[in-house]
Amino acid sequence: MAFVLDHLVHLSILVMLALSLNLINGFAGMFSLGHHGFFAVGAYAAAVVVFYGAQGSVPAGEAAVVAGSASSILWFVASLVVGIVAAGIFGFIVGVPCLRLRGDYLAIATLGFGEIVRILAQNTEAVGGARGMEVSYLLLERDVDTQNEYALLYAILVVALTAVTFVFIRNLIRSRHGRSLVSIREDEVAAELVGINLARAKLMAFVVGAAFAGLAGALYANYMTQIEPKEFNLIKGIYILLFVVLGGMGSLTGTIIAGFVLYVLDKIVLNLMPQEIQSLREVLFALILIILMISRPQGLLGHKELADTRFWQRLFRRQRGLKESS
Amino acid sequence: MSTAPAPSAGVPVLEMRGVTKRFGGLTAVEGFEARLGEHEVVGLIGPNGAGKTTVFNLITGVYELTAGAIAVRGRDTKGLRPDQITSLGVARTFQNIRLFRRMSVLENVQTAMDLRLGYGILASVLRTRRFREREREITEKSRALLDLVGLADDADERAGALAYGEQRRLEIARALATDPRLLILDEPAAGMNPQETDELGEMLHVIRKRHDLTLLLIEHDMKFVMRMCERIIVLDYGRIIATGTPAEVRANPAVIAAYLGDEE
Amino acid sequence: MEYLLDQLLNGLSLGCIYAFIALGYTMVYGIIKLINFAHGEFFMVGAFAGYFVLSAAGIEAIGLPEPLPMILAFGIAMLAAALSSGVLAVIVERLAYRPLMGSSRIAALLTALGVSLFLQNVGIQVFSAEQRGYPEARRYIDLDDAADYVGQTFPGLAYATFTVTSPTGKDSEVREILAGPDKALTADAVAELKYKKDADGEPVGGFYVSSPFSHTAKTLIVIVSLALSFGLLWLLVHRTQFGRAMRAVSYNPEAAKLMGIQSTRVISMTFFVGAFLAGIGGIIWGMRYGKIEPFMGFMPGLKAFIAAVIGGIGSIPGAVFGGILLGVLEVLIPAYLPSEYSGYKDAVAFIALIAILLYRPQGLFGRFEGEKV
Repeated sequence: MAFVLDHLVHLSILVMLALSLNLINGFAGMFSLGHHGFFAVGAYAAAVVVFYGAQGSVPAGEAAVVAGSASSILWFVASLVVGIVAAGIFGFIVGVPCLRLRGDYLAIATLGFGEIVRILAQNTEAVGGARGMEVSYLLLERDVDTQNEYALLYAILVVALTAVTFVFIRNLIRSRHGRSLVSIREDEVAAELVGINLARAKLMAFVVGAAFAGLAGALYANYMTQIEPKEFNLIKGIYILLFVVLGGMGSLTGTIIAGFVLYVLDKIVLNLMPQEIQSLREVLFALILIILMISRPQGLLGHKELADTRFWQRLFRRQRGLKESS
Repeated sequence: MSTAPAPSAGVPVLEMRGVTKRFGGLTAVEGFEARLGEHEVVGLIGPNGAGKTTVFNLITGVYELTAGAIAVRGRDTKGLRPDQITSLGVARTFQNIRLFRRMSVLENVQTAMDLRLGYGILASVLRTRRFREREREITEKSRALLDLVGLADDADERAGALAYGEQRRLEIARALATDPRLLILDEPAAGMNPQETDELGEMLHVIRKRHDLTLLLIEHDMKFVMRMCERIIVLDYGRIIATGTPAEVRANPAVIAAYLGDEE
Repeated sequence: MEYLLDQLLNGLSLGCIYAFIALGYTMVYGIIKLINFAHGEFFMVGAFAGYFVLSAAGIEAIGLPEPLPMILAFGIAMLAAALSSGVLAVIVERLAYRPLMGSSRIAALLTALGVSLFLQNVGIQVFSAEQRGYPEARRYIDLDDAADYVGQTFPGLAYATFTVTSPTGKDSEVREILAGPDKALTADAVAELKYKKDADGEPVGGFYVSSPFSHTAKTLIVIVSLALSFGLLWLLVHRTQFGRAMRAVSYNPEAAKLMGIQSTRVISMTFFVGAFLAGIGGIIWGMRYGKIEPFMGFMPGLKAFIAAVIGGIGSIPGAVFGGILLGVLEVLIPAYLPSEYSGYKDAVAFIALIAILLYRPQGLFGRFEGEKV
């Protein structure tokens, strides 16, 4: 049970990251390769709150943080908020210079930002340097007896927050804000000439996308209670970008489906394979990535949402025309 | 949201003085002058490469001026971004159609409507009452504009899937959605057959009346220009070589020379 | 002052290697607008090819007084490195990139990242993830003959490698310098060596005398080979039919096709030439820094790309200039920072990148291509 739930937590965190990345990459059309940097900022910000805040404020005489106490729960919430805000601010800082860049240049600059975050974390002793940070359990102590309960608690929390992320981003997309972003993706010059403030729209995408990546990071840090700078590398960034691209840039449901399929293939099916094949995990991962990109570069769903596909409409016998009345 | 100054009598919709644009050593436009009053229809003609589209890009803020000044309804546009100039009441179409191709026809118009009918991010995310009311208003007005250009039935089509002439009309609807006072059209009749061109002319007349517009257009179809415009400005090698009524311009030796020279 | 000069030379040779890689990046980007992330792996493969040739040639056993076989061996190794990188690039282009022609940039970029990961991990499977010491020309002197050399100085370095056990019981291999150009070999040093053991616990039987090339000379060789390659490349691009075709395709692929240029062949050839240079960079890296492993290509590759962007992507002199500039900055900045900040060294390149993109997005040598409205 804990095994399945643990995978669910990890998958949900990745999906939350990928959904927020899709806002930037898929809808706004800004090719960002630094999303793992926002994830890292959220994780580290939350870890700092737990380590220096919750653990630092334990009164003299008491041994340690008591998981599940009222103050611990407050600290937990604070760590999420700080994670979101810190990553959002970082998104703004990255976004401002990136306003002037397009296409590949933007990709390489955001990649640079992601690398800088990792290098800073690795070399800053206050956050543990290369060893990373270890923090206390705030909601529930995890041990042999409680591991099921622990995984269940986090699975519910993380899945619920991923659902919130989904609804937030979907609602944002289906509004004038989303229209602005998509129009910029389609034709930046024309978008500006119908009155869209490019800088504001792009920064909005960066800040919102980064903030959700920060939430994912804060959840991750609290769940794992241990983070290392080398986890937040480019491979992580590519992994979530793959969810987005395979699902279809600009398709939120596609992101979730692609994430699920890839994760199950990578972390579950592969683990059932003989050892010789498992040792080829990275080779296979890369090979599948290449083959999928060549055979279906527009992703599984393209720009469509699941409900707009012919498959879904046939399944539920819904006619395209009916939808219009909404 | 910046509200444009109220149109007062005597303030021209567009005023350009000594407008000059150089790209490196190349002078694209030099000393361009124009004054467009309310409801005027003015044509900008000239041989290929004369600098006509450059003038449009200067008006809409796509390019920065090298020298001179441009005022829209009395307001100097120096230092303004294109979206700010649009909010002063300038809208345009493009020579090589630039629609949001993978958005629906309706969404193309809605996007341009957002300038006047805003609401915040929280309203979007929480689907507040303000959001619902504004969206309803945006959608109604957008559909009305599509109706005006004869695209009401194609509202849910992908913009890129429309026929060429329909795409040109959609661009006009999208431009109107920004609620302009001045509409500038870059070769609106390009690629149209005579019948479509006639329809376009009629449509523009209706639109101008209904939306209280000043029109400035670039067009190579001389018959169309002569019939549409009250006044014509002729550009050659970046300089104005003639201005006047269609009849005056047609008789101007400099204009004839410029066009004959072009055809050689 | 001498410190500055030393660091400057270090930076120059690192920069030259970046330049070797950046040239291929810039050529490929210039022609198909693809950031070929796998280019760093071409560099890695070149380094390994060189390694195998040098090992097979028994470079470690060649006596120093005979420089000719040594130069011959390095020449062959360099050619092998360059060719294997070049051939690999052509295969990669044919199998992975050509089918993507006309699809989205993001798909192409992700494929390139995929190829990069693929080659790294195949590298691990084939070569193992372990670091290997690069073969170098050195002479082995048996302890029995050591007495003849006592009191002498050496043009290179005389050193021995052996295992020491720390107080905590951990074994590690150390390299001790016994003598050099200004330090004569002492009898004591030889005597002490008799008690040292190697990693297998066997007594150390002798010591090595390394190549007489000094640090500075090595750096000069790197610079000269870059200058030569750059010159040849310039001739290739500006004085040959292939070069004209290449420039035509990069300027306007449609028009080039109409003019009868076979763009697929030109693209293939561009990959080959670019990777050929990266292969040379790979072997130089191995000789200069002494260690290679399958991941070695990624960071230098990324930095070389940054160098290409700094120089102005698509510009050949820009790639050389950008590479050298970046190498020098990367060495000099940490050299003058307090040592606790030396870990931030890797951030230098990325900060330089972002600075240049903001200040001059087209790069130092690039042309700005405005958009037509």
